[in-house]
Amino acid sequence: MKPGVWLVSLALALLLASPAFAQQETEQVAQSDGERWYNFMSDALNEQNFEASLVYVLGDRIEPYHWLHAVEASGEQLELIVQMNGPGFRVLRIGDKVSHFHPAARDYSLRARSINYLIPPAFSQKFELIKDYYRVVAVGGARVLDRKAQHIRLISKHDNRFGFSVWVDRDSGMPLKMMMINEEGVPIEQVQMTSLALRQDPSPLLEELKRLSMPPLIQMSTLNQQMQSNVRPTWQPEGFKLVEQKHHQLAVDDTPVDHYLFTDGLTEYSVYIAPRAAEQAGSMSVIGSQNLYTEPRNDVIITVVGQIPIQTAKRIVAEVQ
Amino acid sequence: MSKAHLSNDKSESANDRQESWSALFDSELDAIEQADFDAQLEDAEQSDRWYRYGVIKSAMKGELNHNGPLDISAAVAAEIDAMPATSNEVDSDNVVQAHGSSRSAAARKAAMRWFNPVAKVAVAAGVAAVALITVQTYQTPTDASGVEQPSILTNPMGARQPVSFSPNSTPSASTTQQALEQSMRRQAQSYMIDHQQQLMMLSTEAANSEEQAEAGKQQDPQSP
Repeated sequence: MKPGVWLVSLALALLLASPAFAQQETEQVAQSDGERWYNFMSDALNEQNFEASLVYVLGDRIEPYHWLHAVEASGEQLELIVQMNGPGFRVLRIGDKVSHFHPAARDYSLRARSINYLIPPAFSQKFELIKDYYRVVAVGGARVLDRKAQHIRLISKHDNRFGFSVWVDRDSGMPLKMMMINEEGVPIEQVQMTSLALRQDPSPLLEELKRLSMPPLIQMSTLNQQMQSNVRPTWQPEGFKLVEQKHHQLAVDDTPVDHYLFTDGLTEYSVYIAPRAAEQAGSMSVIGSQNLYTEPRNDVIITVVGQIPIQTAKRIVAEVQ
Repeated sequence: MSKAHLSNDKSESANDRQESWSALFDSELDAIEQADFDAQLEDAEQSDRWYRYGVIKSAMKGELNHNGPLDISAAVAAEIDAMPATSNEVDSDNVVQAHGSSRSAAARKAAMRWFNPVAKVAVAAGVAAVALITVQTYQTPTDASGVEQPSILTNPMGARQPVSFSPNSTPSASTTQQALEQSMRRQAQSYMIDHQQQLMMLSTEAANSEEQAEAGKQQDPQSP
């Protein structure tokens, strides 16, 4: 192993109450151990200079990506995700500014602290933020990407959301493999790293990228219009909080909707209330990485979209009043 | 302009090779011999440059596009507009796609404004993933039990069939159903895409500060 890598991981390990030693007592304190591994991972995602290749698997679809991350001496983070097949979509994050580059569309920047893609943003934050709704359990060791990995499971304390399995590199804390599991234990989304290089210093490529002029920053449409409908969601799964509500139009077909966005820190879902069109067929559910349930009622159509089980979505819809 | 910039890049290899790399990103793939392209793909040193050129090229394009108003919803609408083409890749059995007619006028207008018509296939990766999963879930055959399978459940679908509907569906009946399915599919897509768009725009900072304030109330359980 490269001495640089070893030094970095040693420093991290010492910093984090030594997860390596923690292995020995895994059996007794699987949960607090799981929490430590989770935090080891979140620190790695914030502090490591890495260059990784990974595949993202969604159903029978496989997409390869390249993922780079660097931390400047100033503490500012740089992150780049490049889609390796097809048109070559890219996302670059510098600090809290995320720029999207589409080969055929206009490029734009958004203000956000993480790239909401591939890996849930919550993975780069402390476990405390989601501890009320999730348990994290250290399951055991495994060999992943030719490294010693710790398997941890992120389990919902309630039955109304999906769970995760993550394999964390015991040396570096990097997530080497991830699965999102539905309520029946079936994997919905998977990420598998295929190569990982840790560097002591930031990749020169990212330094170079910093000097580019970035596409224009888009402000959120600030027109916080009044809600149009007199019904609204009255129930949410425990732990979900309303973080945004506004009336806007869907970009695709200009449908006017009352929109409510809920999150528990790890998972999000949206509730939409739209006027009912004459030809509206009926209730419908779509099951996939994002589940959708929609149901017409009286003069409105209620739709729930998110990474939540369909039963949960149905209950949310049922309790819109 | 881009070539000039790129060849200023620190380089030890031949200039013409760089030329062809940047030509790739300028969509001049035809200008490159396939064998040449293969050789370059094998060259590990070159592949690093691949990302660099790709990103620089995109960034420069972004720079050139700075003029005029920028509206994310229009950009997303344009991406949607490109979707039927993408859908067809996985949905080749379904001949009644009629993607030309199913586009909304607004999306079409947006596309003309935002897209090079030649580049219809290229969509934002995230958006494409949503679209494809939607199409795929529609295609998954329903399990015999028909309950809670990864498929689309459309309760009143049968009731909406023409009176003349029979098990051996007439072409017109199946066309009606396909059109209806198509419209429901698009409706589902538009909600999924809006959800994704909202997530992208969700100011994580605001969400975090709120949660951190809450987490701060508890003692730090991490301290040994």
